[in-house]
Amino acid sequence: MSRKAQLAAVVAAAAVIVVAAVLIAGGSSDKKPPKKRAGEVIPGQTAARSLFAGIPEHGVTLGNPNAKVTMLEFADLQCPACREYTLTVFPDVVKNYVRTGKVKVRFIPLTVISKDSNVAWSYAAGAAQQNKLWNFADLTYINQGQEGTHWVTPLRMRQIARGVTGLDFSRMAAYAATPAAREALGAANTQAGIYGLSSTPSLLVSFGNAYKKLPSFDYQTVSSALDAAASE
Amino acid sequence: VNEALRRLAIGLAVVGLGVASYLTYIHYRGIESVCAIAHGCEQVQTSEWSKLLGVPVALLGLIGYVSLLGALIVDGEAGRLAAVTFAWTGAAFSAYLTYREIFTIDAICIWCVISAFLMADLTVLTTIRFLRAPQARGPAGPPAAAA
Repeated sequence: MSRKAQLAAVVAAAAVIVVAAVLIAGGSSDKKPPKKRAGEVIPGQTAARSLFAGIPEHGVTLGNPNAKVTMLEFADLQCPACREYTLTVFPDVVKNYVRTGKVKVRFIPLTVISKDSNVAWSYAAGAAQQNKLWNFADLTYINQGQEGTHWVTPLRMRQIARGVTGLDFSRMAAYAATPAAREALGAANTQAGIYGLSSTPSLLVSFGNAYKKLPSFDYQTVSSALDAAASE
Repeated sequence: VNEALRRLAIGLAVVGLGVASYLTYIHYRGIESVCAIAHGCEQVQTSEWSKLLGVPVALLGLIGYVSLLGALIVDGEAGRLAAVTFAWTGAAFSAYLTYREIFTIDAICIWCVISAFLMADLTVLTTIRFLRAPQARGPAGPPAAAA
């Protein structure tokens, strides 16, 4: 075999190796990450900040603490369906129900994707300690990585935290490393068991002292339930 | 000339090994790299394309440079063929990652660019070295020309 023929074989083999590796890894995905706008350190920073600006937040609860209706959101920061709900339905829920003081929403971590979900929650718990959970969670969803790519890293968490005004990453990371940060996971599993929840996002709305699980998370279903709960 | 090409390639591979070692180190330490372009490295480092099948691409680069260096140190036909194969594979992978940086992640990591240039240079050098080397002959063929 001539040198040139050998070289052609080498080039072809290199191309096959790389294409095969990329295809096996699922790297051919055309999913594009969101783009940063001017002045942002991370994509979605401005939108997330304006969504929650001026709304009371305490721990995992967003909204007026005296709101008649409470909605529980069982979610996993790694879950693509939670991302879809957060980016397409939740902004209208915030605008029409939370900002108006009718409803408060509580974030409950139900980690179903992988162990990385627990890690992501630990950081979120650190954000909750500083009453910044919802902004942090929203930015995490906006910048969520592809499932199975182990995108929940300290560096990524710091990058997201940097996009949340007033959130101190050092304090957040220090809290994330404590056992207390994961306490909510056990409690959430117990609650999920009580309500028979196994998937995320799962939404429950209070009707008096009882909670009803919503059959789906589209805006029509959520708003109808919230209206019904408010008029009870 | 071939020896000069080999030495130059070894030098470039050592530099590439240094870059890949640094990127692997900061990946596992979870720290930001020293980067000339604001947060570009951080964005690339934390993107989903920073890993392939769960393995950090920085580590793959490190393995690639070690393999290439090993092939360059081993003289002879097998070494030349291995070196040119590793270099072309590394260059193809670097080209893919550069494409992702520019068109998908929308951020540039200067260390990745340096590595891509090094790999491109190594590809040229190892290819020239491979093409210029005397053709190996099988046992049934005529004897190699005397020097």
